[in-house]
Amino acid sequence: MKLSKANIHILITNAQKRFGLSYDTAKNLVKDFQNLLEKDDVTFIYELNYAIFHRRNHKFTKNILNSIVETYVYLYGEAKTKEDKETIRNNFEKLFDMIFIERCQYSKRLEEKSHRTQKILQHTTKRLNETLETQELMIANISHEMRTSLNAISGYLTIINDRDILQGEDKQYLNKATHATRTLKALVSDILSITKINSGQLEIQKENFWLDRMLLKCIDNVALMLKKKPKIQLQTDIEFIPYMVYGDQNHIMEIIINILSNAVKYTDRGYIKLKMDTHKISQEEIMVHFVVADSGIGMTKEQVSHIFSPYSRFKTERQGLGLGMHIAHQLAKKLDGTLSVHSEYQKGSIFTFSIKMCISKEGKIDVSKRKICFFCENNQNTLFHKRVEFLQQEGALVELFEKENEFVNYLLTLDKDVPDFISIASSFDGYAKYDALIYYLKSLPIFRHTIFIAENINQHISLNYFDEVYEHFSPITLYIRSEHKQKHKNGKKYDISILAVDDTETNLDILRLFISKQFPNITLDLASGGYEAIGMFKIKKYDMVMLDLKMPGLNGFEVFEKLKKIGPLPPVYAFSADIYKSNIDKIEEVGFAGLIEKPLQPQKLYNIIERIANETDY
Amino acid sequence: MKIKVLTCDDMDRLDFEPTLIVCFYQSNKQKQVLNHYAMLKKQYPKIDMIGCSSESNIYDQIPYIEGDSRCLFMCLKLEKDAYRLELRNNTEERLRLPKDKSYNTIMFSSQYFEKIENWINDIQDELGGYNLFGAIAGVSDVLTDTATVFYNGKFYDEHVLLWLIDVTYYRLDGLSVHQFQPVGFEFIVTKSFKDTIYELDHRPALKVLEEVVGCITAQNIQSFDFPFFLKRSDMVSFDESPLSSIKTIDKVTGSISLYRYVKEHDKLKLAIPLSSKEQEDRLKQFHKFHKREDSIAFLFNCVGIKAYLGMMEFVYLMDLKYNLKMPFVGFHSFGEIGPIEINQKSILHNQTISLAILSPVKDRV
Repeated sequence: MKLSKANIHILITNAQKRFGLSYDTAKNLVKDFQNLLEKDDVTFIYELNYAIFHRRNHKFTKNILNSIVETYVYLYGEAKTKEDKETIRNNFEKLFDMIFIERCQYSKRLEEKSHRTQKILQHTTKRLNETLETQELMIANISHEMRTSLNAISGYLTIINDRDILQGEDKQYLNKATHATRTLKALVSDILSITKINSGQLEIQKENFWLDRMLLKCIDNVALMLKKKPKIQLQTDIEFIPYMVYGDQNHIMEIIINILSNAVKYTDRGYIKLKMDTHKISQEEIMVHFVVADSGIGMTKEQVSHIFSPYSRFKTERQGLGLGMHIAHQLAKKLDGTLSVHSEYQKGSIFTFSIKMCISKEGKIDVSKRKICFFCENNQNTLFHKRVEFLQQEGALVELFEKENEFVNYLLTLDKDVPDFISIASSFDGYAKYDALIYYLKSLPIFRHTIFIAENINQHISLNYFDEVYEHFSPITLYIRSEHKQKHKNGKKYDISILAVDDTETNLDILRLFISKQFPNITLDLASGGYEAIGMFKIKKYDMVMLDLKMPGLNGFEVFEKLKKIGPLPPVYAFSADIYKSNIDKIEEVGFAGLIEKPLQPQKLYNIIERIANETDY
Repeated sequence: MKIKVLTCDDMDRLDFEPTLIVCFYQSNKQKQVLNHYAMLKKQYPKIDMIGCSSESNIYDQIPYIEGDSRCLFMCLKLEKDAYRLELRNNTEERLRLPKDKSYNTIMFSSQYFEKIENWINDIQDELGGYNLFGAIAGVSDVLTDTATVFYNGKFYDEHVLLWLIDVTYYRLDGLSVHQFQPVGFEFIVTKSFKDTIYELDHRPALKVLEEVVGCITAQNIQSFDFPFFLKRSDMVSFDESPLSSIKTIDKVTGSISLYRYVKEHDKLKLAIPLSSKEQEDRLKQFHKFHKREDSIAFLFNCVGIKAYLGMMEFVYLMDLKYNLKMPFVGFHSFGEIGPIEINQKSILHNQTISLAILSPVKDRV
């Protein structure tokens, strides 16, 4: 079989037109084809095969196929002899087989392999899900039991501590036991957080909140840790444009507290700087960067590369399991934020958490004509002064005192234009003194609506008459007109009835001790089981019910359903150590007013009771 | 270094006096190899010739994969004293290497034997930071011959051939690449003997595997369908463990045998193919050895890779040819020796493509 010059010319022209080739390239291509046809040289087939693989373009492959078919059909028509026709047909079959048939066979093999892989993956997924379910159930059960026991231990320890009856060594033992319990509680909480994140149980709960207020709460949270390290100076550089944002406040706080705690843990002297930058992206959104820098022990490059892995705590002499940063990182990802770290060994670390949030339309700053009195004893803190300046710029009427006698004199001689807020940042032992003064001032009618704030207290001190107490500084948004409502500070006045139901005697005991300490006038009835609770509910009217969910006999949900049928329900709170999303969802679904977690967090319980008492005409 | 790759059809094109010829041949071509050796030895009395039997040969020219037609001869003119050859019987307990110089090594073994993995470790311990590549010889499944290595006129079927290359003269770099990832839960070998696993997690091994992959047929075995990662107790993770293929299954005893010995407490994880894009990216790792002057490459492809890629192997070999821009020659083997990452230790794998590049040391004093 030999191609004529005319045919070669036609093939070159076709290749040029169809594939946009230069004359020389098309000529070489046709030359290879000619060699295939005339000498059975398979270079053309290999090159074509490679070109199809390399291009990976369906259109190109289709074009090649059309071109091959058309060329062979044309040449077959042009062939003069039977032998030539036979050669063309064989040649076409060989080319078609080597390129297309083999490719189809390869695809078929791939498909079969893909089926097998699919089967392996299905089996693996099934086993993985079973394992996860078992694991989740196991962790849920263990953590429930642990939280219940911890509730008893930490409750009794708090009560013993509050009674202040232990002396010397005994007091030290108590402190050590309290510390160990706190660590255990944090550990259980960390394990639960990880389990929740990994099993997709983490619930994003968005709400409106003030950014500065949230950040100061975070600082308050690590204040106790900081007090144990007097050689560390906490420096804050927080932008004082108060934004009310819409986001998951609790989880954002968890991330920041984790970073801050980490900084305190790994810094022994020097500074911890907390910075918050906001950058407005649009009218609706802002980007917030929280930066925590420390002069601590820093990390090597290798340590940095593992910092967000679980159990990455490489400094074994420090406390904790190394779950905190892993949780913070996972949470940041869940919130569509980023958490990054830059560190230099033995120099310090900088953690940056950035998150985009929506600006809430409800947060308007209005402090105009608000009368605020600041007493700041020997305070050189620039943050304090920046805050005062900001309030003044926004139209607040600010009185600022730095000397004690002038301040006390001012308070005692006031007979009109009483400040809406009196904010006191005193020396170490001054707060107790001012607490007593506030007791007196509150007895005067003109101070009826004044809010008393203790700021920068930096010590563990019990203040009874201040309305707000801040370890660091009070948030600027506290002074906004619509934000603050007068609180009934004196819990001793409340007189409501609560029914608490729990099968564990120690839980009821702890509850009784906490409630009676804070609210001596409250009537607390205790029931150790569902049937007993139902009986009591039938004969007495309660303002609040607390129901343990996991009880022998009737469980909490069943008791709740029966109570519903008896009559109008007061707010009924689930009292449980099972804080899995599935449980929380069920609690909401059936109509509980909320969940009170075990181990009991007294302040949260007090807030709930105060709210109910305020809503009840007691 | 002078290089020429020839087949038995064009040996007359050899235009320099070689010092070493490396030959790859199918087991039924022993006579041809011997004839060529005799001819070459007559012409070049000082020549050394080594070789290894193959399932099929790989060459950087069409048809890329040589069936049973030709033998391949890589003819090299190396610097005097730049290499030495060692033939060792596989009954030796420990492998000791000459300590006079530092060597890179290419190792051809006529078969898998119990101590080979220890030997691979021994060689690297003795070599220090120098490289080791190699392969286990093969035979085509249509032939019943024994796999062999060839050393200066004789075939050996229970031996290992070591080509020790003086590091002051020549570099030897490369990589072993596979196209799989570990998946699922690990299985622990709880009962085994030599290359046979009787129990995984205290249950019949075949049953355990079939629960995951479905029924395993003879066809599956022939196609090397279910490779897995085998983690020895001294290995940290499955990612650095060698791939191993199933050699046979026994439905009666419920056992499986591998192309290597297994020990109790070894761990297995099934391997599934990477995505096409990831597979290609893996193969592109070879491109980093691109266009090294006066270099030549050896390519040891597992017979499992041949079964897995089918016709696509030609395409990948063409891609390698266009991107490597140096002659290469190799064969389909029953075990490949090389590192998964550059500068890592070489191990014995199945189901890999292992590339070893031999190049002169440029700034040699």
